[in-house]
Amino acid sequence: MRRIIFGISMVILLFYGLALGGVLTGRIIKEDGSPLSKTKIIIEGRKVVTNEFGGYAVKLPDGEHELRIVIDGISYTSESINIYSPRTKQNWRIDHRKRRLIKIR
Amino acid sequence: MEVKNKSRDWIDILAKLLPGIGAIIAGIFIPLVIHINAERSRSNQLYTEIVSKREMADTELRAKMFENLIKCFFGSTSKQKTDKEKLTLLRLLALNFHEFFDLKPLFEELESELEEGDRYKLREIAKEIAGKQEALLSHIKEGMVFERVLYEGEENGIIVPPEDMNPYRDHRLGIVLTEIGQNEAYVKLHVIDIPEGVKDVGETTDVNFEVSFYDMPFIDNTKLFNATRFAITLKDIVLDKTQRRAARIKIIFFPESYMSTRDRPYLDEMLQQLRNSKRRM
Repeated sequence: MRRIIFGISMVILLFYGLALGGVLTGRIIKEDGSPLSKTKIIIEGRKVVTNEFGGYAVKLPDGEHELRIVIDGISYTSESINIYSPRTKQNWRIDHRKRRLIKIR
Repeated sequence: MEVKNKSRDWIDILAKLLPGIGAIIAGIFIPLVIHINAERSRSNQLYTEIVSKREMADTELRAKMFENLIKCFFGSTSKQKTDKEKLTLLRLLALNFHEFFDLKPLFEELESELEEGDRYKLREIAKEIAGKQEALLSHIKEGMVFERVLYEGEENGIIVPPEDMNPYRDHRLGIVLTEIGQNEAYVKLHVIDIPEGVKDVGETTDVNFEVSFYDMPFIDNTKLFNATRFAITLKDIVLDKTQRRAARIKIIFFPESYMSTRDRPYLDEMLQQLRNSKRRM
């Protein structure tokens, strides 16, 4: 019985956590400043397609994150970011050499 | 020795004649120059007077016309207006004053009073006026116009001018349709100004706004750096083969200093005249 209650409460907590999630949005640009347009990327396991100007939007739980982003099969780690509900905005520049996503205004 | 004497004689003669010639020049040419300049400045003054009188008469006529149309529109005259009459009055107002006034509140007010069929007619009037303004802006030498069909959602965001074209005065706009509004009367857009070739800045301006059929590019436009403006007009809400809704919009870039055609003749003529008179001086 205890296990069932624990399981249910975990599921509730999971949904609650997801409900608290904010939308992270912004642009991703390449090293030369051009947009990463119409590209399939994976942010923290969630598949996203960027738009014509490199814009993206993904729902993530609130809190501080170092995002793991896969672009064209290569994994990048982002600089640390705080995500707040309902919407957080952040633009990124790809640093191929360091395999990092750098925060830009 | 004789040659030397001869040249001295000539010098003497010239020395005697020069004051006389100088006096003649001073007596004839200086008053002539003064007279010509005075004539020019008088004609400039006359020209300015004519232009300002013409402007005043035109303004007066427009003011009277506007006053009468507004009075008629709001029904201060004895008879209550029918919807058809109101539509005609608003069309008259819009056709004559669309370059000077934001007629959106009047359009919105009338829309709330009208039946479905007449609402369609009202939108057609607004589209006619917006079309006129777009046509004027499209013909500017330095302008740029794009027509795009935009679906809702971040992933469907577009960029204008596209990457394979040159930017407009270092500007590209990223546009996302965030929502198609109630009764398909407006769309909500998120627009960002993307700087060209800059690696450390993702965007410079970020604006959210609504665009309805009653937003006109002359009035509802946004200023950017490099003496640039842009306007977005809503043309239609369309359905694709899969019955998915999208908005057909027009994006117009134009110089900040653009003047409407109605203002231009006066101002251009005056500036030309002033330039000419400056050159003569």
